[in-house]
Amino acid sequence: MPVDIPLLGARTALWLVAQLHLFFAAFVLGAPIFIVFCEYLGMRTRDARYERLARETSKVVAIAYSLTAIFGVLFAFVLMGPYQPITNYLFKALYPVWALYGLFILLETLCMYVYWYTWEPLARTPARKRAHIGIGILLNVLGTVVMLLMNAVGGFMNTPPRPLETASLWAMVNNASWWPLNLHRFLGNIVFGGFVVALFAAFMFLFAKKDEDRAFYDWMGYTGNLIGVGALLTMPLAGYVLSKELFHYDAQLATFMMADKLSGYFVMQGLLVVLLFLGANFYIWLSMQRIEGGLRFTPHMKTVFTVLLAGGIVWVVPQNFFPDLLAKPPEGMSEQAFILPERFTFLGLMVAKALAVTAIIIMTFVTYLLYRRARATGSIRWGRIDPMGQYVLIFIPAVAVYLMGLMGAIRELTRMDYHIYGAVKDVTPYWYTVTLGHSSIMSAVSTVLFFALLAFIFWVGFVVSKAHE
Amino acid sequence: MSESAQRHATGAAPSRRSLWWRVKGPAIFALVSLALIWIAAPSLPARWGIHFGVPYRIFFTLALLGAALFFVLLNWGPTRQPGTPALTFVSILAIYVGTVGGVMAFGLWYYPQFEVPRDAGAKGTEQAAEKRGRNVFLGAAGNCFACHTIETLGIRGGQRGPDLSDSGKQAGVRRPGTSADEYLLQSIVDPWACFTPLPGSRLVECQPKADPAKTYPQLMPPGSRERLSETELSDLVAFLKSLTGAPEKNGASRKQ
Repeated sequence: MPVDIPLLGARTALWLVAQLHLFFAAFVLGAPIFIVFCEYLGMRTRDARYERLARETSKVVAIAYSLTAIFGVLFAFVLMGPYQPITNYLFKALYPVWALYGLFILLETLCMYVYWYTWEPLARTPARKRAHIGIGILLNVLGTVVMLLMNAVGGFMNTPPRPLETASLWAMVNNASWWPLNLHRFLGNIVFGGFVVALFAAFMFLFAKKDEDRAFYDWMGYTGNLIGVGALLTMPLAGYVLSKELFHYDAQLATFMMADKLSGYFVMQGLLVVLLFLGANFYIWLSMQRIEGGLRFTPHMKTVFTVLLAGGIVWVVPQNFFPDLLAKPPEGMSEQAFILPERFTFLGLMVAKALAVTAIIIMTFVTYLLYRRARATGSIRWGRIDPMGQYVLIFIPAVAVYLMGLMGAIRELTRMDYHIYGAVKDVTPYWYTVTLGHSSIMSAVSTVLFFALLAFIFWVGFVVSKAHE
Repeated sequence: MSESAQRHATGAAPSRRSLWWRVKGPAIFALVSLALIWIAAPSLPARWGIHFGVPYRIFFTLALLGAALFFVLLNWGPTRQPGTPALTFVSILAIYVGTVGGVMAFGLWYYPQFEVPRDAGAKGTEQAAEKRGRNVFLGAAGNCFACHTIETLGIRGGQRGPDLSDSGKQAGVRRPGTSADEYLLQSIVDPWACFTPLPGSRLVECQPKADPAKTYPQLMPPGSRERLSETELSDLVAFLKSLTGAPEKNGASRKQ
């Protein structure tokens, strides 16, 4: 290993900068989908709130874009130092991909500037507005291509084509996990964008001084959360597709992930997803109370939460409490105590987990149906929501960001002690698979740092500038 | 309309009596659940097959207490927003950091994790090369402890690989015609050439193929020659050769 990073160590440093880069990248890729959709809705419905929502979110994206670039450069610096051999290898093997990546980032940046600075000039007539939305769609297409290119590199490291020596460039790009990863990340970015917009709205709601602003940010939080939850419902399916491809590619890799060293990570993942669904449903329950007459649905919600919690427990209960395949129980305890009793073995199998997830998703649909029913019979008093609703909108992104960090760690760690699975060994001192505890700390640190930077963006971009106005 | 819902509708502050009402249902649920988990279920006949081990009972206790707390939150009623921007920011920070911290605590608690070696300290009789080898075993470069334990020295590492308490004794008999030094070196730099028998298999010699019923699986990573210098490798071999204590009674025959 040529260089190490003092104090932190190369892996920790790389983990932090890569994770922060990816958090911001996910936001600047997911939020524009949301923004253009809102701009379109604003044009169609002539509801000025959609236009304001799109513009305010764009302002956050513009600042976040700079931070994405900064962390991207730091990521590259750390890669080029301690991880120079693998960086060289990836550049040599996939050089056209990197060249296209640079080109598309440039095009995306130019398009983003055009989109932002033509907002006012192109708002004057419907034809111009349509042209502006067209630029927004182009921005999203360019951003998606950037994501596809980097997913090709990430996927290649996890599932390189075999035999690698004779593989073509296209075979390396179109590797076994490329499309599943594209699907998973595309949906994940929408979830992420929606939840971060809801976080921004909650932040602004709590600091708003006027009822008018409070009403707007309440609506914005609701809309962001709705989009986030809508995309979240599809995520378990996208996750299954990715896992299935990994199983097909290499059973040893998949066993390491689901039954060996990384199995505990999936218990944690289950817990986090259950918390997300509980938070999303709780928020809708609180939202229903700002609808005239919405309180009559309250008794149904308790039934919904009972099913959600029962489904959550089934999803999270582990088949055993061993951290890997060959671990033994602590002294004085029987092995049987750490394994589900035979009669309940089914609780640890995918059939039970899939049923639990299905029940949770159906119950979330039921919650939204109840909300729609309430809305059909009474008017919404925007801004009159219990402040707890805003704290739930802060809780949800905290869990979502942490989950995203942890899932990223799982995907990286499935490579075991390889940089490129089965082909290029990690020969640094940090080659080994870290524990769930270590990954938990890393995810927590990066999640809190991301929040600190977001709070800075919200404060500088909105609170300070509004106070000045 | 429930009492909680009425408070939501009117925005009224809860009375002391209503505090009891908001926790009553969840508290009864929690107490009944605890009684079922810790008293009723363990006292049922074993042949019914519903005896959960202590780790599961702790797990269910936490899950059901969490559910009860969630229902308390559902009953809570309208909250008040902090009066000043500073307090508002502190409340946002508390929710965010509290959520992340809580989840992190679960990840740290979840089950025994072995990446940090628990070393009882070196024996006074170790030679210089063996001491250096011990450092390779425990250090980041070798990182052998991530998968191997040496019970006789009190080094409690991971348990995916065999306990190496008697590796010096076993190395001489694992492959006929190969010296202990050669065998140990090969098992480190080319571990897939020969697979170590499981303690319960009654086999002595290492096997050419991994067999889930008889040998440890193909988990030992190759590539040590790239990670370790020649001196580090020979020190590590010297250290492993010096281990001739009795192995622990290994439970590694657990079905995979």
